[in-house]
Amino acid sequence: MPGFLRKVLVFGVVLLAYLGLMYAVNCMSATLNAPRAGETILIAGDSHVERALNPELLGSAESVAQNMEPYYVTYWKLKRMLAGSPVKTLILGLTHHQLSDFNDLKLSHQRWAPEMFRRIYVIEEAEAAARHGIKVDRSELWRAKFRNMCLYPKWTHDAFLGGYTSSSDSLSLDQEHSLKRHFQRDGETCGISTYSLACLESIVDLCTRLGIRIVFIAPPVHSLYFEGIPEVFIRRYEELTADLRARGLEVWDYTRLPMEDSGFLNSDHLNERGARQFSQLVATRLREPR
Amino acid sequence: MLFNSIDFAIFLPIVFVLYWFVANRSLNAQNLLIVVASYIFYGWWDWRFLLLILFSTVVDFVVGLRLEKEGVPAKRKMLLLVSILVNLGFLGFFKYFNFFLDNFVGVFSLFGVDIDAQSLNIILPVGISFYTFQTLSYSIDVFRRKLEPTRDFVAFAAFVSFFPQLVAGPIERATNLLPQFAVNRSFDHRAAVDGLRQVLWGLFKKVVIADGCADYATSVFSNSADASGSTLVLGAFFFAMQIYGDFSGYSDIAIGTARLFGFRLRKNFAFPYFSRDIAEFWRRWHISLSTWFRDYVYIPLGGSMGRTWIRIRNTLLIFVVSGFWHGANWTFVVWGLLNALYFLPLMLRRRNRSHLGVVAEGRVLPSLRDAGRMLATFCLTLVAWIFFRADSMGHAVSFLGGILSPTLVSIPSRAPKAMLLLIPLFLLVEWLGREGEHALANMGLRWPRALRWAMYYGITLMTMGMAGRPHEFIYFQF
Repeated sequence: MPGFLRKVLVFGVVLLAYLGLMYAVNCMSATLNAPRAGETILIAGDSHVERALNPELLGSAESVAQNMEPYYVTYWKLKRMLAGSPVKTLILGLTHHQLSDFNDLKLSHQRWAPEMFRRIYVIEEAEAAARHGIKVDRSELWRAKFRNMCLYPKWTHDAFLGGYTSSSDSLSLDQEHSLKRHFQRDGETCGISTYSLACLESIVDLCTRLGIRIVFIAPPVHSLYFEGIPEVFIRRYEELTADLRARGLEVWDYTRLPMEDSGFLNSDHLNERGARQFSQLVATRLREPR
Repeated sequence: MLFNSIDFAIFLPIVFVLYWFVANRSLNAQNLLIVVASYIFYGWWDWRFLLLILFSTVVDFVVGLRLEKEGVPAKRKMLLLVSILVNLGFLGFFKYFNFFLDNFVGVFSLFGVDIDAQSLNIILPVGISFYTFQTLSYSIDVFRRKLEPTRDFVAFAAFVSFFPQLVAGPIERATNLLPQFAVNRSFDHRAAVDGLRQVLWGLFKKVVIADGCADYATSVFSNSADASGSTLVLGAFFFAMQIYGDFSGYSDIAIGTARLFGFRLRKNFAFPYFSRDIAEFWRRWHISLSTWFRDYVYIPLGGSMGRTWIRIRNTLLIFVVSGFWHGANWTFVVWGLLNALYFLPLMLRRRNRSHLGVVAEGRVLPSLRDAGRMLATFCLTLVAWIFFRADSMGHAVSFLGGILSPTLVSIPSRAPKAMLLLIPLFLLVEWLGREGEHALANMGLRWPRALRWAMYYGITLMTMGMAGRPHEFIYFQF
């Protein structure tokens, strides 16, 4: 028995030592290779801006927008990327569904949480989110941390970055599915995510503090999608944009910009052709005097 | 409690330490500890169903004692019938009630008679098919006077509920396991080390192979109507790997864990995908269930003796019952029937015992003939697995129809690349270890320690790296 226990103990200790070493190495590489914004225009948000704005057409710009990203993740991301960066303008997506409290499920729902944690394990502030009532699947979070930080040395930890994504596919009308996902839960209309709005406010504060111009953009959506957005979200969105404008912030709402079907990938995303048109429009407006 | 969970990783060392360091002075204390640990293990899932296990234990214990005293054959038969009715009654109610009800209503509606019968919302107690068969084996063996009934209730309760194999086997015979609870156990270093190796390989099979294949197999079976023929074949292949990794992985963990406590459980899998015909496959797949049916159903019916039609009847019956044991669905019955149809030609030509040894024994590579036979046998099982996995008969038939379409010769939709690398590696290790009790039994024993440990660390890290949200074992539902 002592021989057996000794073997098991040695095996366990060596394993723990290895895992600890890998964790230390990965913490170091995550710090040393932490990505910083390198251009003067930074595009952030979820899949709507990810697919709508081609940074190559905006001059000195880069996109860190990523699909299914709620505002709180964008905030955690920007906190790390903006400080000490040359960014002068932040283009931030502002769409109706980003106000929906379906975003509050991103850290707990089986469908989203594993992917979300895979991306954000080095920037997450899940405990802060949990204090604000966001449900967090902690076991999934620790699994993601363990898998990415403890098993082998990784030189980059930037899965949270995102970037411009394009597709040349033509319109597939999926508004029923998208509207249901964005605005309904268990057959009921979703509520407004107070935590998302609080983080949006934090992003504004951050940019103000760093002297960064912030431009809120709502890319075009298909009329069939827009017509299906619940009234409560239309109203809250209008209140929010009015409030932002009243505070001197720029809100460029192109939700209902007339656009041919050939510019859409689906009911709420632009394809490559649509993104080209829209990016040129935004680029022109960015060059105009404020 | 799942073997592939943190809960079990904490539970096992605690029980191990208590077993060898606290309860080690008395056999009774060790047995009692096993009962308590087993009930906690099972109750972790749903404590309410512990009453079922306890009731089944008490009934069979009492029946065993009464059978010993009773000399009148008719009364002995009655006692056995009580045990059978209680155990199969539980099984029938929890597992088959809705199936029979639905089919009963369906048959009557064919004749225009509408019966208003409500299906019940019945939760299937995990492992009920396993422990009821285990306790039945006790009653039957005592009835046949093959086994002396035990007077030690704690030992008997430990035999029924022994946690490593309680919920998904191997289905132990009382003749093998019960006597082990009656003798003092001493710690066997060699057995414990080998047990840990088997646990490690079992976890790898479950977490890396089975769970790694599960998502792709599930997505192909769920969207089979839109998938190309080649994708369907790949999906069926992934399911074949999933179910093997899942179930044999569970058995490996169970057998390895039991060895840590000084018990020797029956082998349940013997590298079935390296079988050269379907008869060999069934000698190597879920051995504890096949031999249970053989000993308690097939042989009493006459087995392979007697006239041809009796042999055919017995074979068909045994495979259909085996299919039905897996679940209350016609797909399982057809799965069993299909295997019977594969088996019958071999039996009728008396070729069903042609391959009793290990394929290519003592050699690294099989002969071309053996390789062809293994491939053919695997393809036959693959077709049968489609029925096993499909949601309904219609689904299975349309899946097969999809395979036999022109898109069979096309590139399958993207399978996880990691699995396409890991599956061949897994099969290679299994192939190299096929002459041992389990794949890692003899692997690396003559290597330098550092190299051998590097292999164990590699397997451990791969298992940890692939571990996601713990998936339940497929066989829990049976």
